[in-house]
Amino acid sequence: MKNPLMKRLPRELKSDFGKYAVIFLFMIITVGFISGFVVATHSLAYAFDNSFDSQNVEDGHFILEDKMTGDLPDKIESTDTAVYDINYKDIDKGDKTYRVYKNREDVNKQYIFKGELAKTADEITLDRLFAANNSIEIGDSITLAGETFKVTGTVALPDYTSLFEKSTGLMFNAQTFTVALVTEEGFDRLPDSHTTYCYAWTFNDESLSENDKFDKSNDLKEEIAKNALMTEFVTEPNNQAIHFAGDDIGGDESMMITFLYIIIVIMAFIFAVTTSNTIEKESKVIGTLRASGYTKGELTFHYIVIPVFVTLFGALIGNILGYTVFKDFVADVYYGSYSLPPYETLWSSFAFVNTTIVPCAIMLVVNFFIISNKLSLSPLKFLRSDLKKKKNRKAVKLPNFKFISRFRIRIFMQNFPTYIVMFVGVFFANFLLLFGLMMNPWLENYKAEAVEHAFSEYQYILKMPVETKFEEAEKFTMTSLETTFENTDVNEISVYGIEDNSLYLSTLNFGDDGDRIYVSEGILKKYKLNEGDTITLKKKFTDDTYDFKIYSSFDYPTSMAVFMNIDSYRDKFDLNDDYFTGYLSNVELDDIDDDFILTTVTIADSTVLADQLTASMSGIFGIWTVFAVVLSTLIIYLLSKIIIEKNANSVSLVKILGFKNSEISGLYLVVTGIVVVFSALICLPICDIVFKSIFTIMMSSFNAWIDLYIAPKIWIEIPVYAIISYFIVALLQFMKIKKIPMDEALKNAE
Amino acid sequence: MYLEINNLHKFYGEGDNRNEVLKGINCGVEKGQICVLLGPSGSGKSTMLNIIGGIDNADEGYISINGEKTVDMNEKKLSLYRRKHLGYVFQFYNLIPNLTVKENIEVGAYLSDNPLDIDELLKTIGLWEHKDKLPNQLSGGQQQRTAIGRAIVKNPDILLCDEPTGALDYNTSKDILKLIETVNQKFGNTVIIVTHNDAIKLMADKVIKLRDGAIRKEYINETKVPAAELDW
Repeated sequence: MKNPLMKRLPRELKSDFGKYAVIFLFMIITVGFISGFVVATHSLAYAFDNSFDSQNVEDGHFILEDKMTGDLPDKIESTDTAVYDINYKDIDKGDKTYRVYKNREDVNKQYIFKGELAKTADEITLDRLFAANNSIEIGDSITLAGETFKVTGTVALPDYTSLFEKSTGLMFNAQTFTVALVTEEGFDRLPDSHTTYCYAWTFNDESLSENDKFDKSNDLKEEIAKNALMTEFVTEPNNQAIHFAGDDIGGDESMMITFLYIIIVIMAFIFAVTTSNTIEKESKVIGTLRASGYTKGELTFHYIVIPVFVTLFGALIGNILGYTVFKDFVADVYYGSYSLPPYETLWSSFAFVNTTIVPCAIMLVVNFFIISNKLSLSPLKFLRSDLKKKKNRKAVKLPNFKFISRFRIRIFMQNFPTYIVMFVGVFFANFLLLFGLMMNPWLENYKAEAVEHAFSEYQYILKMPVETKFEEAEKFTMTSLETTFENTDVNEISVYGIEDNSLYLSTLNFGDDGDRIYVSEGILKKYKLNEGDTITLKKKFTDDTYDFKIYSSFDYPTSMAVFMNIDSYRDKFDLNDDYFTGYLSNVELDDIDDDFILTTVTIADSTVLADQLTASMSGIFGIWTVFAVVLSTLIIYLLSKIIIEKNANSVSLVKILGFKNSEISGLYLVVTGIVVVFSALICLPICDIVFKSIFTIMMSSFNAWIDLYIAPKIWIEIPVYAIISYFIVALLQFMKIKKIPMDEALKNAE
Repeated sequence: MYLEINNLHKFYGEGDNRNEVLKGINCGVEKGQICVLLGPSGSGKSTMLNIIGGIDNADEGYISINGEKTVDMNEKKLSLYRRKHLGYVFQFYNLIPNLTVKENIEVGAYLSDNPLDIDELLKTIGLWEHKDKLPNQLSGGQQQRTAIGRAIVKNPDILLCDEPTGALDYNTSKDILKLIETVNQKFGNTVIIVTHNDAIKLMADKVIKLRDGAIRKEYINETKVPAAELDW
């Protein structure tokens, strides 16, 4: 015979439809989003990984000062390695840079998203994302270096899934940098002075391990260095433009899954508190059933069914939405940041296990322990409605406060476990809220700092030393070295040689001997160094190392850099006394021919990182904020509802005694209000500490250091949001209090 | 003896507050008998019933039903014992509010491998017309009938009734007592009724009077009166 108690369940769901519908919807949205996230990232990652074979992605590339000549190609090919010419021309157009390649047929082959490849000399295809960001359509014309091209299609290149202009750059930039493909004839139309002699290689033996590839790459590097002047050598694993997107896709997966688990744990405790309240209300029925022979296990099962049922169905429907609606949303976010290959939706058992099985298991375990503990009392205790485990409990003596205050304290003590769950829930919601609210101001602050701390309006890096007539121009030297810290990723650090009494970095004082070395504050924070410590950096592709004894830190938030006197720099790197890398200037140096300029860095370039993050993520921050507020409101609503329901008898009784609804609300709702406000306030320093810890961990795996900035207004906004949530809930609960009839107390009196 | 109570002691409280509520009770009930436990409040009659019902423990002594001692049973076995042998009726009906009359009775039937026919039982207890109503649509008497139906549907060996008429008016109380009598006659269950209503002893086969935790009087009622003829 089917357990007749099961017939209660649909009626229970119906009788408290509002509560369960809200939880159900919340569960669907949360699971749906996480499931969609996992499905999308797994499908995208699969497409991304597959592209390495299908598009024959390079095992690395190198850049030579001049075209590769002589027997170097043969020498490379003799090591069972294929080498390909992927020369490109960087053409600046306004603030945009177009990196133009020839159509690819052998290596790093393009995906065509729309239209078709350029077939004639006056046609061009552009990166899909750049075209979308700049509203460039097929059929539009663009002029590069005076030559006009007609856009015939949009593509994604597997070696530029993230549009890094420099393969070791800080941040990709799909706003102002693009790759483009033209025919050979089209390529020849562009000036040769813009050519970068770039060559890709692939190892013919596909069975090579990563270690083998690493060793072979090192051999290759030595061989090339012996035969040509090499300016860049990047293996595929070190190429940010290839790997950044792949690392990012699903990189947040464990955070998202953890986030889901925390939500489910909070929901599980809310369910457990609700069920405990139901058990207290039904204690006599439970006592009767236990006395009649129902086992504790049967009743535990009975009370666990609804939480698990709601979770299971919420998770299943959430998964369906995850595979249909949310997956597209998440994929669009990734396609809005990266030039990824097209993907097909794949079934993910990982998503199913983590968004359905595990949440149900969490719900089951939490509720099982709490409910079975609650039901462990003897049938007699249930019959007597004596559900306290401790014997001889005495009322806590309270100071001689006013009656109302003492009443409120009693309510607080009676519902202490519920308020603990509320505190944890409010904390978690506020933590999410902090994250959602702080990101945009943080990026804005970073941009402002970057602009404020830029050395000069222009930073010219030259291909060779060239003089200028402008007096504002100040020579500087610069090179990039790599960190040598053990157990951390290798990061790139810029080392600058600056003139004494610099116009642009006037706060630097290199001392009488010119031996004082400054480092940007980010270096001290990231590597936990102090003034007086020595940092050892390494020249790329060599074993040459350089020690820098830190004199002091320098407030330069946009990059990790070392600053030293220009003469000391020349000594350190064995350079001529008149050597320099480029100019700092507040005016445009229009007397230097473009052919001599390697790159020009403007103030706008220093905000690229923040601009890209804002473009990619600002929508997510908004959704995150809304989600956090909804979560906070939901938690406060469900738990305060439990408190009112639990005290329905008392509410009814005080109504009989003559209390007005507003006075009763003042008793019951004010306590919850105080708890919400206190929770929100106490959470602030805790959120601050936790967030700073997480931020430090995040930054340690980032190729830079950006100071954490939490706008002061956020510390006001968070409790304000909590108070608004509470007022919405209080209004709903006030209506509930109004509806409690006066005979409630009389009906339940036995 | 079908139900045997041997040297039953029960204490409540600790230290100076320790109070002996059952002071060595010895008695027994034959199978199929209606036994009425009489006594004023605090006499220990409900405690004794709860120990028989396996929902409270004796500090000394034991209960034996058909030779099976409850004192030796753990919680799980006690649940099975209650499931197999006992039906409970309380002063307050303790029905499940969101189940209908019939479904409340099904809750009892679920516990038995061989339950009585529910429809037939509904007719026997006079609730056939009300079988689809929820408890809050019933009178107190009808609710108590439902509770009796729930207890009896699994055809228990012993039906334990704790003040079954305590919350009912005179006429309804008589109806309930008649129903208990009918059930006893029809299904042959042993019935133990705890009450402080002296008149109910007249319908019993055996009467045990308790006061201050001890049996003051125990006798077989030779002049048993049908429940319908009770008056108080």
